[in-house]
Amino acid sequence: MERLSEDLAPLEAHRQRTLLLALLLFLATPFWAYLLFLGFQALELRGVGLLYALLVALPPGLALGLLRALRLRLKRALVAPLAEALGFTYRPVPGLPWHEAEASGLLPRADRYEGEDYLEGTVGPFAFRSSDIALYRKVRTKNGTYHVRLLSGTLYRFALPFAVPGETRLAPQGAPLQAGGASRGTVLLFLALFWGVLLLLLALGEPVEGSAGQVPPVVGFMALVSLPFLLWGLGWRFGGRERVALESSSFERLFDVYGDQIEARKLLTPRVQEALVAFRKALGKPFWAAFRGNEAWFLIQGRNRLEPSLLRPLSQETLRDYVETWTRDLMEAKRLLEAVGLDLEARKRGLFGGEGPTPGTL
Amino acid sequence: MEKGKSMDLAFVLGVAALLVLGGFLTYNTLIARKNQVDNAYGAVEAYLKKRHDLIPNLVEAVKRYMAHERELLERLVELRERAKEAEGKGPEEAFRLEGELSRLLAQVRLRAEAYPDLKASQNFLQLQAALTEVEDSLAAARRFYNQAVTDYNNAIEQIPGRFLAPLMGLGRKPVFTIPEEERETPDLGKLFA
Repeated sequence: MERLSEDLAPLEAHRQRTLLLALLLFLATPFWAYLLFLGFQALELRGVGLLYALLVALPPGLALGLLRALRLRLKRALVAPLAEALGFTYRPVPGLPWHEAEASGLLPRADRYEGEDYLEGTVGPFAFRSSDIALYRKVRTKNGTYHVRLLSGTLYRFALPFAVPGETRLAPQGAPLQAGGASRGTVLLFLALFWGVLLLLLALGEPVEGSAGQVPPVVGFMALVSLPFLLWGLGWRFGGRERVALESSSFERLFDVYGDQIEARKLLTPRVQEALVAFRKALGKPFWAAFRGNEAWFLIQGRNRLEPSLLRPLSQETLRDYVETWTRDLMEAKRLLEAVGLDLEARKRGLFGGEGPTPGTL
Repeated sequence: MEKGKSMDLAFVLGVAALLVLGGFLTYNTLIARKNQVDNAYGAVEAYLKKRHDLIPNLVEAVKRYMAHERELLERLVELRERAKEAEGKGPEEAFRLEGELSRLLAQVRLRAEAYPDLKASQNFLQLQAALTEVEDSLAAARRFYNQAVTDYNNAIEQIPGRFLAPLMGLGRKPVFTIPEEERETPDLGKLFA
């Protein structure tokens, strides 16, 4: 940390120089484009649109390159010392290994996995390992193959000093059990659109030549194939985990729970449900969770931790704010897991007797 | 004209098909809810049976030490017998008796605090832990049952289940309730102080 404090001033100077240079490059781009245009005209060059575009893109491309380099330098200079000062172990790459991330059960099948910003340490009695992750799926088109991002976020793995009953999974309300998949709502919306268009065609369309009626056979086949998805969207299960409905309306508005009916309720008492709602509100982002044996997993979608802002001046106060922001998730998770542990311990000691129903379920 | 008649026929057939499909879905939903209630009640009964099986061992373990609590232990044994007899006779009476049993067990646990020799007994501690585990599972099973019954009652009282439920002989079911004095949430801070 002391070395970091000494490096702050030169780092801040470098940040300001780079931002200024990038800004000048962006501002210079229209003039550069105009100059190029005049030059091409003077040389009477024709049919060189691609070359012109490439040359015009040079200054902004250079600016983006400078900004990217600045981002990496700030990250290298700030994150590792701050993590070390907090007693954590940090490495920029690689993140959590794929087999470990996959063991959470929260991730869908993917063709490519990327992990970065690995962070390991202890918060209170809970040891943790975490990483920012991204999953991609390969898409083949006639123009080639490329990867589409399925999801990105932060994955935490906590080791618990107590055992939770069974295996219970949480997903944001309406979301699929595994992050990045299609939700029931999306599938139902797609099906509703498909059937709506089909019915319109039936009502208003002309008979199709070569087929028995107004519906071409391929459309009829697609309608048939869509039926299982309709049933799935309406809640029929084709194997897989059972959904557990719980008492708290505020909890049910935020989460879907999957697991054994009894074991999930042993874990998710009204008190723990309240703690999870508070955790969700503190995070401000949807998350998936899995509780199994002595482990708890959290996947916070859309979170990209440990990214210093390029625009924020570097100072001691900035470093304190970064520490607070980057550890907020950990502190909230610690609070939640302490509530779970306390609840389990109290019930193990028989302090709460029979839970009984929550008032309002009669 | 021909096209008009065939359109009318198609419309009527379409509506009829929708009604039949709706009827199937409603019927299946009501059956699924009813089976879920039976499944949940089965889980409750399983844990109640476990508790019934633990009670004679508990009485045997404590009666030597808690000689002055004979009346309490006799009530416990008697209530256990009545609760066992009420198994399979419908949930209302079973719930009432099991609620009384829970209160008596809590009293035994409380009175046992006054007997240090009993509290040091390994047998008693193991029974205590087993009972606590069963009570915890029973609480979860009761919540499962109540949720299943609530979903079932909603399904038979809301449209369109409301029309089909009487034809299927389905009626409202009771939920587990706890007495007023047990509804107060204990102060965790004081318990652990």
